[in-house]
Amino acid sequence: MPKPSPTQVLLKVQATALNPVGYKSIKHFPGFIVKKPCVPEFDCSGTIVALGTKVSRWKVRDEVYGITPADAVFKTGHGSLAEYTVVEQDNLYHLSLLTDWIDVKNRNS
Amino acid sequence: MTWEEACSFPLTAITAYDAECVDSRVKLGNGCSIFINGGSGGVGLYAIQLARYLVGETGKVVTTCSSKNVELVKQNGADDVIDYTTTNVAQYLSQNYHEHKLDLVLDAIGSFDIFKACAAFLNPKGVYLMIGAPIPANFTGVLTMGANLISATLVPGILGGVPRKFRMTLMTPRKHAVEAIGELVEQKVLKPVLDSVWEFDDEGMKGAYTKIMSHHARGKVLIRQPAKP
Repeated sequence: MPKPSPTQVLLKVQATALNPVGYKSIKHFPGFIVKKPCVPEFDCSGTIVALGTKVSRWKVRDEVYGITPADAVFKTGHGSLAEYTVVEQDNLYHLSLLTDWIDVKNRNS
Repeated sequence: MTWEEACSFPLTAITAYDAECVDSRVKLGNGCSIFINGGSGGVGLYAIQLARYLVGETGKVVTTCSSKNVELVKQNGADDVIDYTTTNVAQYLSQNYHEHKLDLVLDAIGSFDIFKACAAFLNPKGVYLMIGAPIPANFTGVLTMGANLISATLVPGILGGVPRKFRMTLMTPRKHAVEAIGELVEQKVLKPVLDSVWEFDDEGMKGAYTKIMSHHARGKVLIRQPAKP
């Protein structure tokens, strides 16, 4: 499991979006550009389960969506297609700010 | 809004936002016109939604897609749709936007042939913006792209280059863009468009990546984690 840096949070991931850059980075990019092995993808939504030491904007259990940019994923190998991922605190947005946000915790469809 | 829908926004919507509101340095307001190359993809659909909002009812949002996606891009706000499977895009634009030229081109495909023709339909003050970095699949592709980029950015009009501004951008999530996208989603300017949602297992991964690698996804491809037991 990745460890959050002082400005990152650790997310329990609920969903990951795929982007063409994701598979291209695994398939075509050499090791000096993308750290191998690399967990691909950048977008995610989920619940905050741990905070970096300098994170003040968020608390554990906040529900958010956000992004880790490609260059950061390529450097660390920690993409968003995983059960847990780390995201910079400023790259997150609070889901409860969206009025029609329905928290489907017990979805079973 | 579900976990999957919310998750469909950051990369693509910020790419669209950066392109239309930041990197183009063209002030897109009421009555402006924009051409989005590749309207039915992830970036394309959110770029259309945002463009519709920015240029208003009097503005024009022109885009391309294949026959089966014409309705989809219209529903998302496009008003002139070019079916690239039956129509030569550069020719169509040159004929139809020669008089009233476009203010901005967002190219999410990487069509240098359209760029080369753009003086005929792009306002002299307009910008041709290549977004989402169409990454070549092999070494020959890299060389061709390199040659195209050099000619697009370095050869001035007087020496036979295209006399329009060309920019290529990669999105960087900046705090203000993340906040702006959140507000646009809240105001329902941006509405989620999902191609499909897959499970986080072998079968789901295979299906999801087959879809995204086909380059024919209509909107975003999502993978979800199993629900809590």
